[in-house]
Amino acid sequence: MSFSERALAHMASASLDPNLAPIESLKSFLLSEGFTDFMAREMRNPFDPDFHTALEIYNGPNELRQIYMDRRDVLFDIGMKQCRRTTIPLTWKSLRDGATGPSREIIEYLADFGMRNGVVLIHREINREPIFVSVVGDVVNELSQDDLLMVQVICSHFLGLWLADYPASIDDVKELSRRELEILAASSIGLNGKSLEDHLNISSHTMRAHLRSIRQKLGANSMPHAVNIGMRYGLLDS
Amino acid sequence: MHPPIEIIDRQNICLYQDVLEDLWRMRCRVAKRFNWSIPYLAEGLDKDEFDRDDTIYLVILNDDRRVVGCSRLIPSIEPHLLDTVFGDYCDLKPIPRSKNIWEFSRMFVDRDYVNLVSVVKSCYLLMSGVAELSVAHGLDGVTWYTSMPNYQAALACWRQTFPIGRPALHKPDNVIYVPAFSPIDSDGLVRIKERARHEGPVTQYIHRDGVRSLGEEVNVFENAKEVRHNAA
Repeated sequence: MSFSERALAHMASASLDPNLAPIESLKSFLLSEGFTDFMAREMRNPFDPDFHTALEIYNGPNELRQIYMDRRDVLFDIGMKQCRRTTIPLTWKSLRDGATGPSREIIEYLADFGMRNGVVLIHREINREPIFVSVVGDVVNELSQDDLLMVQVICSHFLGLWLADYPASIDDVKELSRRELEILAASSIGLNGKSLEDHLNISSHTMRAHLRSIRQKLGANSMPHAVNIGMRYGLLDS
Repeated sequence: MHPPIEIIDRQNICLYQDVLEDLWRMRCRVAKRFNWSIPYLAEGLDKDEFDRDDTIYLVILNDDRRVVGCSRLIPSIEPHLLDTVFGDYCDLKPIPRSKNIWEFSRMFVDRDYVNLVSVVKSCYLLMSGVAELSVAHGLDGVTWYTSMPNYQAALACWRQTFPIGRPALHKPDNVIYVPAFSPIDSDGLVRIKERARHEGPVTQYIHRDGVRSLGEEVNVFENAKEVRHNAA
């Protein structure tokens, strides 16, 4: 059986388990695949205490996929789309220099081991303390592009199941204006930059103000992050 | 308040000829927007070999009876997308296939006709409609070839969803798509209605004689079976 076949079999069998512990199931699969359990320790981000990376997948020096989880347990996948949009040629060094907090510590830690591919899982209690980081990485084998996509799918699958158990709350999300909701919805279908301004007939200046307001109200780091929060909390449903 | 999803099958299709024509044109517009490379787009219609007599359509119409959202169900025991067009992605595991499993495809919403805010709402509405049909008629679930965002949305409601083949990166929009099977039961129906804030039935079946109750008076899946039987 190939890696992808084993991953599919694992997800299919897990779907029948009524007592599934999603994160443990994901981790046990990765470990069974020869990924190495690097570390499991408590970790805090000294720079941004409200925001933590939930999962990162490294693929060699040129690609970084990140799935974030924010303080309201929102799963946020910037994935390749974000990498493509920013078109930053990520290198191991730039990752190390650019990342802060846990990401930087983790990257430096992994780099010391010569890790080229890896998955970082961050477990967190629902009361947000303590933050528990476990790193599962592959220092031996390069993952093929197909396998990497499957890693992305299996990680998204189990993280999605994990987060589905936590009911959403909109208590700390401020209400968006009608115009802001329109912009958020337009962003959710892929419009950005000039196309967004043209579609809604708004000047760049006004658009920037709206985007800033949306991010502030939702506590988001970026518009994709804001869209994910909006979708999770039903802000796009009304 | 959401508009009802109208269910179209071979038994009531005569009431919807203009709607179907509009549906195929709308699908064409949306597919072009997604940069999908599928046949027939040049002709202005996205009507393929899976738009058959036994296909069941779910459509959302606006006040002018224009199609603003749609999807379709195809029986898994007959040729469908996952065992033909996307067959290469499903070569790792057998595709779930039975008379109680249908393929869910072409979930499209046309943002030309709906408020942008309603795009996501319409997608949830269509998923609620599929869940309602599944539960009313005792289906086991649906197979589909879906983007990861929609996969995640389904997973939150239909917890037993799992991939049934290899994922692929769709280059035009850089989105990962994956073939999946979503078992749907009454819990799954409740979850999606809660998530989408739908109260009461979301689907309706209109016949010449008026509105019929799905599951009790009309079984669209049995109607489709009859179509196939007659054709054979």
